[in-house]
Amino acid sequence: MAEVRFENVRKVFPGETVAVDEFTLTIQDGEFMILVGPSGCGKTTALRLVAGLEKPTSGEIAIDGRVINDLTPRDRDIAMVFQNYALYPHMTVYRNLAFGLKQRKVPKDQIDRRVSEASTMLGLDDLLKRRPAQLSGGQRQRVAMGRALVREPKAFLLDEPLSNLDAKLRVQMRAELKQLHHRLGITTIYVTHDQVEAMTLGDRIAVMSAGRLQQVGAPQDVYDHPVNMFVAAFIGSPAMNLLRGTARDGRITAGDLTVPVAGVPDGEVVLGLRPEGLRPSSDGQPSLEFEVQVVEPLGDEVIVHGTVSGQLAEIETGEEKAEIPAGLPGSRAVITARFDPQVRPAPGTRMALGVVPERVHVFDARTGTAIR
Amino acid sequence: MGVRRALRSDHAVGWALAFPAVFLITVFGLVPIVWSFVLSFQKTNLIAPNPPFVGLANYRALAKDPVFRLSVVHSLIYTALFVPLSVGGALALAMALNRKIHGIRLYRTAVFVPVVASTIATAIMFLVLFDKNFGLANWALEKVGLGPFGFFESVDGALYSIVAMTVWGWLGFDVIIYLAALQGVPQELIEAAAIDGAGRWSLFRNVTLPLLGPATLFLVVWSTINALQLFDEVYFLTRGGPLRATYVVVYYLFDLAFQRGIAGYAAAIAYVLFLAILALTIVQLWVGKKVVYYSS
Repeated sequence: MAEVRFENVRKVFPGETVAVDEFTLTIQDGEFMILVGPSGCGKTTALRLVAGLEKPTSGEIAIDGRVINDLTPRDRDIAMVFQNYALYPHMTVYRNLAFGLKQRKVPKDQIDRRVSEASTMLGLDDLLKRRPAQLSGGQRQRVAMGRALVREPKAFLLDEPLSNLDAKLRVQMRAELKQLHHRLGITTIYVTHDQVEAMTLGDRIAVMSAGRLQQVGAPQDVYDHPVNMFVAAFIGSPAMNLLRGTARDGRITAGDLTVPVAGVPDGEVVLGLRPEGLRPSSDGQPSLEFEVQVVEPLGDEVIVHGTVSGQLAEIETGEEKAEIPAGLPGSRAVITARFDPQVRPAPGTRMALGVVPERVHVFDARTGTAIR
Repeated sequence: MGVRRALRSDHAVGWALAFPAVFLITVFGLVPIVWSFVLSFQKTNLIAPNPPFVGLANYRALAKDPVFRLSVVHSLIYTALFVPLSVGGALALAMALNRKIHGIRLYRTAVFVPVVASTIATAIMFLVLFDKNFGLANWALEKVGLGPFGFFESVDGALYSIVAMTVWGWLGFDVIIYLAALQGVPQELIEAAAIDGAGRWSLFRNVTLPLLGPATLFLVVWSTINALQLFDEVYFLTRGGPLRATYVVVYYLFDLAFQRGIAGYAAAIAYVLFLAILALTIVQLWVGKKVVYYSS
């Protein structure tokens, strides 16, 4: 078990691609840390830097206070689970699990014991003689976990380990991973771009964009108090609605919406409205006129897309965006709301969407940083 | 079916298009195979009419022929050296060439050049290189107090000199096969092994080499067949000499059939060689099936 620390780490690839920049982050002993961000944000590179598969251009990486920049992967005593598992295809499950221990000259009886412990823990006992090609995706994923487990390393590095599994299995493995971490308490760094994994798995999440750390904190904190527009737009699904607005005398106006917000200096701002913060309006509530376009009933909730008067604030999150429907006048913006399942408006209807002033996020339109 | 209809049918067109290839394969492939099989039961010089059938006499004679036995021994020595040296050497070279260093394309090309050079050109070059009096090899050996060696002219060294030359000539081909196979070794496996604590040797031994299994099996089978059929180099360089030191099976066969006119006996040798190669290949593939891992 160990503490992993990044100190001003920068990684530049040939061709001057800056993958990781001014990255400072400490992962506590036993902590489950999620690195999350869109593809190309540098999260995998950060993980590979800890593994020793990449060398930092500058800065320090330390495990338990010891700088490991120049150590080979072998000498770092960490274990990694790769996105497509990287199991040795020519070895049986047993040999895959035992390989790391064999390399470290662990006595045979100990190898047997540790492999059998790990395989029992992960339900692999009946598969030990099979080769990876004879396993299902979920089983391979478990073998990859097992290979990391048996080593009893200082830290686990997981690179999108669930992304190749189908949705159902992903939910199951997510729960198993969480349980496993709870049981073993090994420092874990987990890279993902999946919202749900980010929110549910980690003790803390670190949101990255363009090689830089944007925000670190407990998942709920980051969700409730994003420090900038990027984090606001990236964390949460469906994403936060961001509307251009103007602040004057303690009020913000965006399209036909006017919200009283204290402590916001006059000027151009971006208003952030979470989909679940938008409800069919009750009297006296600040509201905006919403024209329903698409209704997606999900059983436990209803996602409703529609337009409001106003202008969207563009922010590059690397996520795929829905195309703005053709013929939409420039004065209207597409937003998303999330309703209880019994509320099911028909497409084409107009309704007033109420906004709770306390749940409104406000960002500086120029810098993108949160004002409140 | 009328002639017209037959001509118009796809069947006829297909045969017409395939005819040149079928004709060539029949005349230069199937006919000789069958004919030499018949020859192996005859006493013939290929010229005299009505050669007599002698049954299995040619095959029986082989068992007692000391020159045949000598040729077999030479072929086996040659194969036992050529196969591991060319395949092993190619593996080492391919590993060295499978990296991103400056001028790597030049090195790779250089390694492949001997493969496209003609056997005669290679032979002449080696004759000069290995010349007893003026050769570069002897000059270098003398510098370190050895030699001069006769190489192709010496009874002890001629066969080994041919091994050296053919290994050099074929290495590039094997290297290309291995380089292609190395591209198929996933980078992640190498990284996973590095994190698992494998050093360079262990990585090679436990990850790279097993994944090169199919390529290795192919090269071993192919090189063995090639080696047992050695002829060109012997013909150009030594004509089986000196003192039959480089008599190998196919050269002996050639000598019998086309220089001494003992074609029936030579045909029997051809069939024995064919069966030996077939048997050896089956054994190799059988062993390969047990030890080689195929990804698909």
